[in-house]
Amino acid sequence: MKKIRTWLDDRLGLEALSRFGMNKEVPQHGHTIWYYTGSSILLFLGIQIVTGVMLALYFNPTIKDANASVGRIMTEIPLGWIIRSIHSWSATFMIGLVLIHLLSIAFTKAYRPPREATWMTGVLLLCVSLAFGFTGYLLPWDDLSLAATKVGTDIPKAIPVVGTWVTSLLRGGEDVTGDTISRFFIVHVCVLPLAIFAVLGIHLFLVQRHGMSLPLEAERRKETLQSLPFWPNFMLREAGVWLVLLGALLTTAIFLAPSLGPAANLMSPAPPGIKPEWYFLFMFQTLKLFPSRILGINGELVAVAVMAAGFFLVLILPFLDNRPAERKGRIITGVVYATFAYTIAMTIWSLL
Amino acid sequence: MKTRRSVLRPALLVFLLAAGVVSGVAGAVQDVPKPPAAKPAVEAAAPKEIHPTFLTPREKNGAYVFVGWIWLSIGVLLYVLRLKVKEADRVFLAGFYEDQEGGKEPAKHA
Amino acid sequence: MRLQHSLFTRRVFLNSLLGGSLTAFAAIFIGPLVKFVFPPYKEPDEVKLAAADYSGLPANEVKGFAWGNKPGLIKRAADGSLVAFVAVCSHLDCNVTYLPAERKFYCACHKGWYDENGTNIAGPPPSPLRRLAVSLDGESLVVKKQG
Repeated sequence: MKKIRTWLDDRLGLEALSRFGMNKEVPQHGHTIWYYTGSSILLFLGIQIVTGVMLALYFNPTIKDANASVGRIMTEIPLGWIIRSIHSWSATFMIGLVLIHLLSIAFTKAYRPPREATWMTGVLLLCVSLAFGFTGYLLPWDDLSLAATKVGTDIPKAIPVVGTWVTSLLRGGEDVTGDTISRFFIVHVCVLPLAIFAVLGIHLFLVQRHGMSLPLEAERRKETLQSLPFWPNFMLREAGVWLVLLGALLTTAIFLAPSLGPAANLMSPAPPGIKPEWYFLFMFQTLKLFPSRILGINGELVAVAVMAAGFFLVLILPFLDNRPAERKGRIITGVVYATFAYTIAMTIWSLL
Repeated sequence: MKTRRSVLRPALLVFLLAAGVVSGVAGAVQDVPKPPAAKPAVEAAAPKEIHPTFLTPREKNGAYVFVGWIWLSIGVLLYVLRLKVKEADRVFLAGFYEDQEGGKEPAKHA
Repeated sequence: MRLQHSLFTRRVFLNSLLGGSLTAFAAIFIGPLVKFVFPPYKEPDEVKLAAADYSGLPANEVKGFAWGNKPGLIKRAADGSLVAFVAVCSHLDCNVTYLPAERKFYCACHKGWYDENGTNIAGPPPSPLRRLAVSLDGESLVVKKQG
């Protein structure tokens, strides 16, 4: 064992890695628990890649066979239904953790200088994760996913000038067809993974470069906090967290496996009770609230504009919150709380 | 001691391999839930929705056993990890990592 | 015999315990993953065909049928009986054809030749074509694995 380690180290310089890991310090304080969210996201991303590749071994991204191939995975391939279930639930866990991670950074204001770029790459990663969810949802090609995709790709039409063009780009034409499946599949399986690796690489580099941020009060009081080395002390604790999360994922996946509806019919009316995945529900409900015309402007356009503005504000939050310790900072924290409460309320409302 | 130590490495390797094989076999032998609801929706007549359900009580119990086995293993692993974490913390605080000069104060409880 | 010193240090013991348990835990997942990646495909035990389709087959002529995922050929032998082969070359799995003029099966991939009974006679094929048993069962022709 030691010989193998020495061989690798002589050629790859692994000693530098473990030294870096040991020198990297993780401060211990009341909010240390949130430090676990980032690596947990990585765990689920890894699971998604593995289960995704396995599903892609049998999936057929054509209009004729998409639903049938998923059906085959669930009935003929040994344990196919578990792999599909894990893939589906891991998506939920991953996006849930991304949102928790975002909220924890927002509430501890860890985006303060010099970590603004880390925040922005993080928001980009949120977008990529949501895009993964959106593109993946269509692939089983059942009534629900067809309807959700039709609605989702119709929203950009409200944008003036480029709207129709954007929708056409997403759909591969004016309508959702077999071309849409091909498009969504290659985006889900190739384009988005490349994007997430690129942005994640930058994000992780920035995190290592700037180190772990401290809570606002600790920094202001210039406390020296006890810290542990990342390797092996913090990493071992993370391993424990990962095990529990893995157990939770497997339990949910086995007992709450998703079903598959019959293949979508492009000509039949939308089924009742269509809804997107849970992470889009608040947007879905917000859209429903907007009247069709507001002051003579198309209601949907206003809704899209509001959502775009909201997203932009989230993106530049570190620059808005430039005085985090003062009253302005507390107001912004209040706004973040209010937004969070709003999304929860909208999500719950959409389910009633 | 030298002869004893030369037995150590292979013995450890054998132990790890045995643990892996035993657990692998035990895991494979578990009645891992078979594909339930084997009614494919490929029947041309009436496309049905495919609900993954457990067809027999045996399958359902198999799922419980498997999940229980996973949690049991996780419990054991968490216990071992706890021991390792305590040891790693102790070694660090005593200042025995490379590049450390001397020990740190006992940790304020994290 | 009582040992003066322990064979393992506490550290080595703990590390092996951790490594071993993690390996054991990971091993649980390998079986199912492997089963998924190698789906069970079995050749059919028998295939039923409509006898009427093959009743008009003249001597020294073949007609194809599906043997699971593989192609099969039914040939009318000189004595009037029907014989069936799995029409897959024993060399590297190409599909073979029958040339009635030569009374031989021919594999175009590497110029392999089999005689009218499926025995390999020229070229790279190492073994004869696989034969299947043909029998009549009322309205249908039953093709089964031989032996």
